Amino acid sequence: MRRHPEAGKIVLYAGGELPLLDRLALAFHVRRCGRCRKEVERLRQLRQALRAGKDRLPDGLDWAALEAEMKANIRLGVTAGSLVRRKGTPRPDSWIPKWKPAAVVAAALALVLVAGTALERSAQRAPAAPAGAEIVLRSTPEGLAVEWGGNEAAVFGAGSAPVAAAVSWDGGARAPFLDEDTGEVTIYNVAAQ
Amino acid sequence: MSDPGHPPAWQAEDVWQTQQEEFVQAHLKRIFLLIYRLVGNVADAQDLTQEAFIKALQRQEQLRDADKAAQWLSRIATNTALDFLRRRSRSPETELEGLPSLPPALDEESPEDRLLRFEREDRLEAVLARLTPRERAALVLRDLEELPAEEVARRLGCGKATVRSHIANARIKVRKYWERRLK
Repeated sequence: MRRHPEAGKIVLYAGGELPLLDRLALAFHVRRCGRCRKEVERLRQLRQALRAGKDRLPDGLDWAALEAEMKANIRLGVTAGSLVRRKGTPRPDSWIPKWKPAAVVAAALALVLVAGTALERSAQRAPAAPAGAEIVLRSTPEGLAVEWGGNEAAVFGAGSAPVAAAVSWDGGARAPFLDEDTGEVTIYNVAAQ
Repeated sequence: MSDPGHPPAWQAEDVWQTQQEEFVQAHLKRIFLLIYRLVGNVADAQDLTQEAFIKALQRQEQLRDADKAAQWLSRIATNTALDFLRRRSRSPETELEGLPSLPPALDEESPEDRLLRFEREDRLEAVLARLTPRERAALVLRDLEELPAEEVARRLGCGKATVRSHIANARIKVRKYWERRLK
């Protein structure tokens, strides 16, 4: 009585997965055994039938709607991923040249340097008064006196007393003078620089 | 000023976006069906398909060669689905004896007609649902995706003997199922 191979070996033989020696032994048997030959043929047909159903979509599935939804979600996911990646490390195959970030930093430093120099130059434009040479504006009975370095340099409205004297926030002094003979009012604005 | 060897960044971004859309269009259905056959339901297959594409599209350099990109995407899809199946604790395995029976076929129906009916009635999902996740994955990758057994073993992270055992068990179950349903 002929002994048939076990089912596990037959199904692997039909699919071509058996190791060489087993395959040769089984091929020898199958050639001589009609029943096993028929079984192998059935298994191969069944495999074909399974494969034929491979591209069939599930029953009742609206593929157009599902496809659109998946595409939108994929786009969203890829965009979100690229944003996260940009925030972290640069994309390795980015076409942005590697020197660009360094150029941006260098440009920013240059801008700070230029602005600093310009500010310093404008500060130098007004000559600083030597030590002990402060300008003092004073209202005196003779008029608005300007003192520089401890000496009275000029008196505005000399010979008459100002009606009122006011000192502004920038160190300037303002005083109106009334000529009692003519009634003329002269306003002096003196600014120290 | 842009590098003469490369398009400007904004233009490159547009080209890349178009390539991505074409890539998704070309492979979406195939990958969805592959994952669906592995996990067995539309909702999970949808999530995993999206996940697989997002993973793939983050590696621009892998997508330059169309053929390699298709294989690479299949590998990502398979791994994504298998990881999901590993995480999912429940097994869809059920006993063949518990299946509802079909009305008896006509006696004069030939084996070829039965196979045609098997295809027409979309028994693929029904039979895959009766396999363990490993058997199911082995059968889908070997018999539907037509990958070599060695590659199936690699993807499943097991030895060739183990994968052969999964394939054999799966085919025997399919064979029994087919006999019972269509006899």
